[in-house]
Amino acid sequence: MITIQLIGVVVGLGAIHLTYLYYKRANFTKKEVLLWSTIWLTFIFVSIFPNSVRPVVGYLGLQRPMDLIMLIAFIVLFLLSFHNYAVTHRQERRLEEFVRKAALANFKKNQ
Amino acid sequence: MKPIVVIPAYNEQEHIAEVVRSAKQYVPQIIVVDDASKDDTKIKAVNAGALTIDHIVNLGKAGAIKTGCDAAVCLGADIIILMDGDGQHDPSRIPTFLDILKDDTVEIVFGSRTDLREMPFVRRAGTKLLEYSMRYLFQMSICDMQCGYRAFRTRVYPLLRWDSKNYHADAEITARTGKYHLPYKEIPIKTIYHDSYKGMTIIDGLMLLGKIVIWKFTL
Repeated sequence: MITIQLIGVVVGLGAIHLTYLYYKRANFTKKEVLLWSTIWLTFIFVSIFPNSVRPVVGYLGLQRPMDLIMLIAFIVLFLLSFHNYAVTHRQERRLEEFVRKAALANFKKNQ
Repeated sequence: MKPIVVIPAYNEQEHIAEVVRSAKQYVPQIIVVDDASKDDTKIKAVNAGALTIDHIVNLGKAGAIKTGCDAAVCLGADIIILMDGDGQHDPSRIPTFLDILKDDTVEIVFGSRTDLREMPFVRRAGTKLLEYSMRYLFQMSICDMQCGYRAFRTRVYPLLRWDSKNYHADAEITARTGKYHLPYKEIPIKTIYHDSYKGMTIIDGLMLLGKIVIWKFTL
Protein backbone atom coordinates (compact mmCIF):
# COMPACT_ATOMS: atom_id res chain seq x y z
CA MET A 1 0.00 0.00 0.00
CA ILE A 2 1.47 3.35 -1.01
CA THR A 3 1.67 6.28 1.38
CA ILE A 4 -1.20 8.27 -0.16
CA GLN A 5 -3.53 5.27 0.26
CA LEU A 6 -2.45 4.91 3.87
CA ILE A 7 -3.17 8.59 4.50
CA GLY A 8 -6.60 8.14 2.90
CA VAL A 9 -7.42 5.22 5.19
CA VAL A 10 -6.21 7.07 8.32
CA VAL A 11 -8.21 10.21 7.40
CA GLY A 12 -11.31 8.08 6.70
CA LEU A 13 -11.02 6.23 10.02
CA GLY A 14 -10.48 9.51 11.87
CA ALA A 15 -13.58 10.96 10.23
CA ILE A 16 -15.65 7.91 11.21
CA HIS A 17 -14.41 8.31 14.78
CA LEU A 18 -15.46 12.00 14.74
CA THR A 19 -18.85 11.06 13.30
CA TYR A 20 -19.36 8.60 16.15
CA LEU A 21 -18.29 11.23 18.70
CA TYR A 22 -20.79 13.75 17.28
CA TYR A 23 -23.48 11.07 17.54
CA LYS A 24 -22.58 10.30 21.17
CA ARG A 25 -22.77 14.04 21.98
CA ALA A 26 -26.23 14.12 20.34
CA ASN A 27 -25.06 16.54 17.64
CA PHE A 28 -25.89 14.03 14.88
CA THR A 29 -29.03 11.97 14.38
CA LYS A 30 -28.89 8.26 13.38
CA LYS A 31 -29.63 9.23 9.77
CA GLU A 32 -26.71 11.66 9.71
CA VAL A 33 -24.39 9.04 11.21
CA LEU A 34 -25.47 6.56 8.56
CA LEU A 35 -24.97 9.08 5.74
CA TRP A 36 -21.52 10.23 6.86
CA SER A 37 -20.33 6.73 7.78
CA THR A 38 -21.29 5.52 4.29
CA ILE A 39 -19.40 8.43 2.72
CA TRP A 40 -16.27 7.77 4.78
CA LEU A 41 -16.40 3.99 4.29
CA THR A 42 -16.63 4.57 0.53
CA PHE A 43 -13.66 6.92 0.84
CA ILE A 44 -11.64 4.24 2.65
CA PHE A 45 -12.68 1.56 0.13
CA VAL A 46 -11.59 3.74 -2.81
CA SER A 47 -8.33 4.54 -1.03
CA ILE A 48 -7.54 0.81 -0.63
CA PHE A 49 -8.92 -0.28 -4.03
CA PRO A 50 -8.46 2.69 -6.38
CA ASN A 51 -9.01 0.45 -9.41
CA SER A 52 -12.61 -0.17 -8.31
CA VAL A 53 -13.53 3.24 -9.77
CA ARG A 54 -11.62 2.55 -13.02
CA PRO A 55 -14.84 1.96 -15.06
CA VAL A 56 -16.25 5.32 -13.94
CA VAL A 57 -12.90 6.99 -14.67
CA GLY A 58 -12.94 5.63 -18.21
CA TYR A 59 -16.59 6.55 -18.70
CA LEU A 60 -15.90 10.19 -17.70
CA GLY A 61 -12.83 10.34 -19.96
CA LEU A 62 -10.40 10.83 -17.05
CA GLN A 63 -6.89 9.41 -16.88
CA ARG A 64 -6.50 8.21 -13.29
CA PRO A 65 -8.70 7.34 -10.28
CA MET A 66 -7.02 10.23 -8.44
CA ASP A 67 -8.45 12.65 -11.06
CA LEU A 68 -11.95 11.38 -10.24
CA ILE A 69 -11.37 11.84 -6.51
CA MET A 70 -10.10 15.39 -7.09
CA LEU A 71 -13.10 16.17 -9.30
CA ILE A 72 -15.57 14.87 -6.72
CA ALA A 73 -13.70 16.72 -3.97
CA PHE A 74 -14.01 20.02 -5.85
CA ILE A 75 -17.70 19.48 -6.55
CA VAL A 76 -18.34 18.65 -2.88
CA LEU A 77 -16.33 21.72 -1.79
CA PHE A 78 -18.32 24.04 -4.03
CA LEU A 79 -21.61 22.53 -2.85
CA LEU A 80 -20.56 22.84 0.79
CA SER A 81 -19.47 26.47 0.26
CA PHE A 82 -22.82 27.29 -1.30
CA HIS A 83 -24.69 25.48 1.45
CA ASN A 84 -22.67 27.22 4.16
CA TYR A 85 -23.27 30.61 2.54
CA ALA A 86 -27.03 30.00 2.33
CA VAL A 87 -27.27 28.76 5.93
CA THR A 88 -25.11 31.60 7.31
CA HIS A 89 -27.14 34.17 5.38
CA ARG A 90 -30.40 32.74 6.72
CA GLN A 91 -29.09 32.64 10.29
CA GLU A 92 -27.85 36.24 10.02
CA ARG A 93 -31.29 37.40 8.94
CA ARG A 94 -32.97 35.43 11.74
CA LEU A 95 -30.55 36.84 14.30
CA GLU A 96 -31.12 40.38 13.05
CA GLU A 97 -34.89 39.99 13.23
CA PHE A 98 -34.66 38.48 16.69
CA VAL A 99 -32.41 41.25 18.01
CA ARG A 100 -34.64 43.93 16.48
CA LYS A 101 -37.85 42.41 17.86
CA ALA A 102 -36.33 42.10 21.32
CA ALA A 103 -35.04 45.69 21.20
CA LEU A 104 -38.39 47.10 20.05
CA ALA A 105 -40.37 45.05 22.59
CA ASN A 106 -38.13 46.35 25.37
CA PHE A 107 -38.39 49.90 24.01
CA LYS A 108 -42.22 49.77 23.93
CA LYS A 109 -42.31 48.32 27.46
CA ASN A 110 -40.22 51.22 28.78
CA GLN A 111 -42.33 53.92 27.09
CA MET B 1 -45.23 67.75 11.89
CA LYS B 2 -43.48 65.42 14.36
CA PRO B 3 -39.81 64.93 13.57
CA ILE B 4 -37.66 62.37 15.39
CA VAL B 5 -33.89 62.08 15.09
CA VAL B 6 -32.45 58.56 14.89
CA ILE B 7 -28.80 58.13 15.84
CA PRO B 8 -27.03 54.76 15.57
CA ALA B 9 -24.23 54.49 18.10
CA TYR B 10 -21.52 51.95 18.76
CA ASN B 11 -18.88 52.85 21.35
CA GLU B 12 -19.55 56.58 20.94
CA GLN B 13 -19.29 57.67 24.58
CA GLU B 14 -16.91 60.48 23.59
CA HIS B 15 -19.38 62.32 21.36
CA ILE B 16 -22.90 61.00 21.88
CA ALA B 17 -23.93 63.33 24.73
CA GLU B 18 -22.88 66.43 22.80
CA VAL B 19 -24.64 65.20 19.64
CA VAL B 20 -27.87 64.50 21.56
CA ARG B 21 -27.80 67.80 23.44
CA SER B 22 -27.18 69.75 20.23
CA ALA B 23 -29.88 67.90 18.30
CA LYS B 24 -32.41 68.40 21.12
CA GLN B 25 -32.26 72.16 20.52
CA TYR B 26 -34.09 71.54 17.24
CA VAL B 27 -36.07 68.32 17.73
CA PRO B 28 -37.70 67.24 21.00
CA GLN B 29 -37.32 63.49 20.56
CA ILE B 30 -34.03 61.77 19.85
CA ILE B 31 -33.69 58.01 19.59
CA VAL B 32 -30.21 56.61 20.12
CA VAL B 33 -29.82 52.99 19.05
CA ASP B 34 -27.09 51.52 21.22
CA ASP B 35 -25.69 48.82 18.95
CA ALA B 36 -24.28 46.61 21.71
CA SER B 37 -21.67 49.17 22.77
CA LYS B 38 -19.01 48.07 25.22
CA ASP B 39 -18.62 51.52 26.74
CA ASP B 40 -20.97 54.02 28.42
CA THR B 41 -22.70 55.18 25.24
CA LYS B 42 -26.16 54.34 26.56
CA ILE B 43 -25.74 56.08 29.92
CA LYS B 44 -24.34 59.20 28.28
CA ALA B 45 -27.20 59.26 25.75
CA VAL B 46 -29.87 58.83 28.44
CA ASN B 47 -28.33 61.53 30.62
CA ALA B 48 -28.29 63.86 27.64
CA GLY B 49 -32.03 63.34 27.21
CA ALA B 50 -32.30 60.73 24.47
CA LEU B 51 -34.60 57.73 24.32
CA THR B 52 -32.46 54.65 23.91
CA ILE B 53 -33.08 51.33 22.29
CA ASP B 54 -30.62 48.51 22.85
CA HIS B 55 -29.31 45.79 20.58
CA ILE B 56 -28.03 42.80 22.50
CA VAL B 57 -25.84 41.91 19.51
CA ASN B 58 -24.02 44.36 17.24
CA LEU B 59 -25.91 44.58 13.93
CA GLY B 60 -23.92 47.37 12.32
CA LYS B 61 -25.11 50.78 11.18
CA ALA B 62 -27.74 49.53 8.73
CA GLY B 63 -29.39 47.32 11.33
CA ALA B 64 -29.22 50.03 13.98
CA ILE B 65 -30.90 52.73 11.87
CA LYS B 66 -33.55 50.23 10.79
CA THR B 67 -34.42 49.51 14.43
CA GLY B 68 -34.35 53.25 15.18
CA CYS B 69 -36.70 54.02 12.29
CA ASP B 70 -39.09 51.24 13.37
CA ALA B 71 -39.11 52.77 16.86
CA ALA B 72 -39.69 56.25 15.43
CA VAL B 73 -42.68 54.90 13.48
CA CYS B 74 -44.02 53.40 16.74
CA LEU B 75 -43.73 56.84 18.36
CA GLY B 76 -45.76 58.40 15.56
CA ALA B 77 -43.03 60.33 13.79
CA ASP B 78 -43.93 62.14 10.56
CA ILE B 79 -40.33 62.84 9.69
CA ILE B 80 -37.26 60.77 10.48
CA ILE B 81 -33.85 62.41 10.51
CA LEU B 82 -30.81 60.14 10.39
CA MET B 83 -27.45 61.32 11.65
CA ASP B 84 -24.26 59.73 12.90
CA GLY B 85 -23.41 59.46 16.57
CA ASP B 86 -19.74 60.34 16.25
CA GLY B 87 -20.34 64.06 15.99
CA GLN B 88 -19.37 64.37 12.33
CA HIS B 89 -22.77 65.80 11.40
CA ASP B 90 -23.63 69.32 12.51
CA PRO B 91 -27.07 69.31 14.22
CA SER B 92 -27.56 72.99 13.38
CA ARG B 93 -28.51 71.84 9.86
CA ILE B 94 -31.62 70.04 11.18
CA PRO B 95 -33.87 73.13 10.73
CA THR B 96 -32.79 73.31 7.07
CA PHE B 97 -33.83 69.69 6.54
CA LEU B 98 -37.18 70.38 8.21
CA ASP B 99 -37.77 73.62 6.29
CA ILE B 100 -37.35 71.79 2.99
CA LEU B 101 -39.71 69.03 4.11
CA LYS B 102 -42.40 71.64 4.85
CA ASP B 103 -42.81 71.57 1.09
CA ASP B 104 -45.13 68.60 0.76
CA THR B 105 -43.78 67.67 -2.67
CA VAL B 106 -40.36 66.71 -1.26
CA GLU B 107 -40.14 63.26 0.33
CA ILE B 108 -36.47 62.99 1.20
CA VAL B 109 -33.59 65.41 1.79
CA PHE B 110 -29.99 64.24 1.43
CA GLY B 111 -27.08 65.88 3.17
CA SER B 112 -24.12 66.29 0.89
CA ARG B 113 -20.61 66.73 2.23
CA THR B 114 -19.03 69.92 0.95
CA ASP B 115 -15.50 68.81 1.67
CA LEU B 116 -15.36 66.17 -1.07
CA ARG B 117 -12.76 68.27 -2.90
CA GLU B 118 -10.42 67.92 0.06
CA MET B 119 -10.49 64.14 -0.23
CA PRO B 120 -7.46 62.23 -1.54
CA PHE B 121 -7.58 61.77 -5.34
CA VAL B 122 -8.42 58.05 -5.27
CA ARG B 123 -11.34 58.54 -2.90
CA ARG B 124 -12.60 61.54 -4.84
CA ALA B 125 -12.39 59.56 -8.10
CA GLY B 126 -14.27 56.67 -6.48
CA THR B 127 -17.00 58.99 -5.23
CA LYS B 128 -17.33 60.46 -8.75
CA LEU B 129 -17.57 56.98 -10.25
CA LEU B 130 -20.34 56.05 -7.82
CA GLU B 131 -22.09 59.34 -8.54
CA TYR B 132 -22.04 58.71 -12.32
CA SER B 133 -23.20 55.11 -11.88
CA MET B 134 -26.15 56.31 -9.80
CA ARG B 135 -26.92 58.97 -12.40
CA TYR B 136 -26.76 56.47 -15.27
CA LEU B 137 -28.60 53.58 -13.60
CA PHE B 138 -31.15 55.43 -11.45
CA GLN B 139 -31.34 58.82 -13.17
CA MET B 140 -30.39 60.54 -9.93
CA SER B 141 -28.24 63.60 -9.84
CA ILE B 142 -26.77 63.34 -6.37
CA CYS B 143 -23.25 64.38 -5.40
CA ASP B 144 -22.85 62.36 -2.21
CA MET B 145 -24.96 59.25 -1.95
CA GLN B 146 -22.87 57.87 0.93
CA CYS B 147 -23.57 60.67 3.39
CA GLY B 148 -25.55 59.36 6.36
CA TYR B 149 -27.14 62.71 7.24
CA ARG B 150 -30.60 62.70 5.69
CA ALA B 151 -34.29 63.20 6.49
CA PHE B 152 -37.39 61.63 5.00
CA ARG B 153 -41.12 61.39 5.54
CA THR B 154 -42.29 58.34 7.46
CA ARG B 155 -44.86 57.59 4.76
CA VAL B 156 -42.06 56.67 2.33
CA TYR B 157 -40.15 54.56 4.88
CA PRO B 158 -41.73 51.28 3.67
CA LEU B 159 -40.35 52.03 0.20
CA LEU B 160 -36.93 52.99 1.50
CA ARG B 161 -36.53 50.16 4.04
CA TRP B 162 -33.16 48.69 3.12
CA ASP B 163 -31.77 45.16 3.10
CA SER B 164 -28.10 46.10 3.02
CA LYS B 165 -25.72 45.75 5.86
CA ASN B 166 -23.46 48.46 7.23
CA TYR B 167 -22.54 51.47 5.11
CA HIS B 168 -24.19 50.20 1.94
CA ALA B 169 -27.55 51.11 3.50
CA ASP B 170 -27.00 54.82 2.75
CA ALA B 171 -26.43 54.05 -0.91
CA GLU B 172 -29.40 51.68 -1.01
CA ILE B 173 -31.71 54.38 0.37
CA THR B 174 -30.46 56.63 -2.43
CA ALA B 175 -31.01 53.90 -5.02
CA ARG B 176 -34.52 53.22 -3.72
CA THR B 177 -35.29 56.95 -3.92
CA GLY B 178 -34.38 56.78 -7.61
CA LYS B 179 -36.16 53.48 -8.17
CA TYR B 180 -39.48 54.77 -6.80
CA HIS B 181 -39.02 58.26 -8.30
CA LEU B 182 -39.38 59.95 -4.91
CA PRO B 183 -38.94 63.74 -5.07
CA TYR B 184 -35.72 64.68 -3.28
CA LYS B 185 -33.43 67.58 -2.56
CA GLU B 186 -29.81 67.75 -1.57
CA ILE B 187 -28.33 70.26 0.85
CA PRO B 188 -24.67 70.95 1.60
CA ILE B 189 -23.43 69.97 5.05
CA LYS B 190 -20.13 70.38 6.82
CA THR B 191 -18.46 67.27 8.14
CA ILE B 192 -16.22 67.07 11.17
CA TYR B 193 -14.03 63.95 11.12
CA HIS B 194 -12.97 62.67 14.52
CA ASP B 195 -11.74 59.25 13.43
CA SER B 196 -9.37 58.95 10.51
CA TYR B 197 -9.81 55.16 10.32
CA LYS B 198 -13.44 55.45 9.28
CA GLY B 199 -14.48 55.59 5.64
CA MET B 200 -14.49 53.29 2.65
CA THR B 201 -11.55 51.48 1.12
CA ILE B 202 -11.11 50.90 -2.63
CA ILE B 203 -12.44 47.35 -2.16
CA ASP B 204 -15.54 48.72 -0.36
CA GLY B 205 -16.07 51.17 -3.23
CA LEU B 206 -15.83 48.44 -5.87
CA MET B 207 -18.21 46.22 -3.92
CA LEU B 208 -20.64 49.11 -3.64
CA LEU B 209 -20.39 49.72 -7.38
CA GLY B 210 -21.30 46.07 -7.95
CA LYS B 211 -24.21 46.42 -5.55
CA ILE B 212 -25.55 49.48 -7.39
CA VAL B 213 -25.60 47.49 -10.62
CA ILE B 214 -27.37 44.59 -8.86
CA TRP B 215 -29.93 46.97 -7.29
CA LYS B 216 -30.80 48.23 -10.76
CA PHE B 217 -32.21 44.79 -11.51
CA THR B 218 -33.35 43.56 -8.10
CA LEU B 219 -34.96 46.51 -6.29
